[in-house]
Amino acid sequence: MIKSYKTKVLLNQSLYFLIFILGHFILLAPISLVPVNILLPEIMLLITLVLIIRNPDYVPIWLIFLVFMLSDFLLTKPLGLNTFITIIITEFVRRNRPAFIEMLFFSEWLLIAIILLLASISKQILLIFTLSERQNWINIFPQIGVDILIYPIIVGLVRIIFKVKKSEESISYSIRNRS
Amino acid sequence: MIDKKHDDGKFIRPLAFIGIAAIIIISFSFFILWRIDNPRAELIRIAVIDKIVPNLDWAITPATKVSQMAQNFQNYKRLYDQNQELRNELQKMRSWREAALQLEQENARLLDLNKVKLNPKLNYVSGKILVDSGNIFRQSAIINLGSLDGIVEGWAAMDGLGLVGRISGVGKKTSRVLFLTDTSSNVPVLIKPSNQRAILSGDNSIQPNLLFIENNKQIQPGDRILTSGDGGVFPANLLIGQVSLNNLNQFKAQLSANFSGLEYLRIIRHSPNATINQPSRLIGPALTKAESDD
Repeated sequence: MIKSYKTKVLLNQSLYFLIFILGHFILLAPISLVPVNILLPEIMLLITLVLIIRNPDYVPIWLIFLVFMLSDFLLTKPLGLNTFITIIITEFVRRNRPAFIEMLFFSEWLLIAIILLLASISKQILLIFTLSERQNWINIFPQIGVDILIYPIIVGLVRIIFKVKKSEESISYSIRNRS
Repeated sequence: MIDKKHDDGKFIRPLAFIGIAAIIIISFSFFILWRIDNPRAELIRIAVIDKIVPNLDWAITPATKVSQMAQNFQNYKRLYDQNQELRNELQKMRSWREAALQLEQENARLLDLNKVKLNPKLNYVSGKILVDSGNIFRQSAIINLGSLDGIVEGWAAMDGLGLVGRISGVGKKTSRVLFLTDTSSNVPVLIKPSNQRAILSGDNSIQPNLLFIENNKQIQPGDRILTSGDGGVFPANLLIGQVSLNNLNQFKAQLSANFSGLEYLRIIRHSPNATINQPSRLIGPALTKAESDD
């Protein structure tokens, strides 16, 4: 039983990494170099959050670090900043997973929305403190809005692709929380 | 990783905590490094991209091709109209070509009479665009030429016709081209025929702004924009595009380079002219020490 669960976890982790690679192929492919103003949701972040609530075994912290660090490198973003914020919020959600499991979907959505908002604001504040080049405040709110609106869709897709449910037992963290 | 021994070990909690803390500290120190020593952090970024991107080429190329095929298919729909337009244009071009040839011959004759030495002839290397920035707030792309091909930071990148941007960041096998449309791109330009100088400043749209124009009244929509060569980054007289006026009465540049169909770029090899920074160097050979002291 444990053996087969381990292979399942491994398969799902590779699936997660595969989605990351595919998503970044599409972002990076030089299809048209005309500047576009379509806001794309931060799909990787949303998938990570959804998976952490559903089954944290599929997204261990080292995998999150790898994925977001690579994405920072490839997408010419401030190195490490996105990774730093993402790891903090995912660890927060991971610690509070039992609370998330008991919630109705709407309260989960609301809480995730607040977390995303706080994360963006703290990212912005860090950039201000370090006097870095940054977006206007006006530009970050549509991004958060798009992320929040797309969250239920991501939840649906993740449930289909990874075949996870909220009530799922995750070995590592359930034991740890019980002790 | 750490979770593997969760059922027998008692050290998991502290170990996991140390692991998490280490990862958080590492990512934050990357950010601090990026902020404090930006050039070095960008060198690391270039090195990482240099390792990854050339190996992804086999996978990204099909994706690009498929999407381009879809775009081409849309174009086929209005093939007939386009054909007619092109015929008309070709007719006009023929007469222009004749005029240009005559002028070229005349120009060559006159130059020969004058024994003028113009700027050294520019030559170029062509490279293929591998990936773009993947970020809507950054306008750049990675090409498959690097320091092994002799690429130097700051060289101009053109498509067949107009300026596209400049090299900013060189790895061994790849380098980054920063487009004119990026917000951090500012290029000194010359507007012909009125010879007004201005700065072409990107703003994340396909039509960059023309700022600091000497005299607004002397330029009109349709005037040609060329690089001025001021600042010594770009060679002078590379075509950029035409002046246009938007509905807020701001001057914009209509770029000649076709950004929607960029696949290959020409990188102009360019070594700046000798700079003149002392009056005594203007004319004649360098003065001897005794003479220059007084």
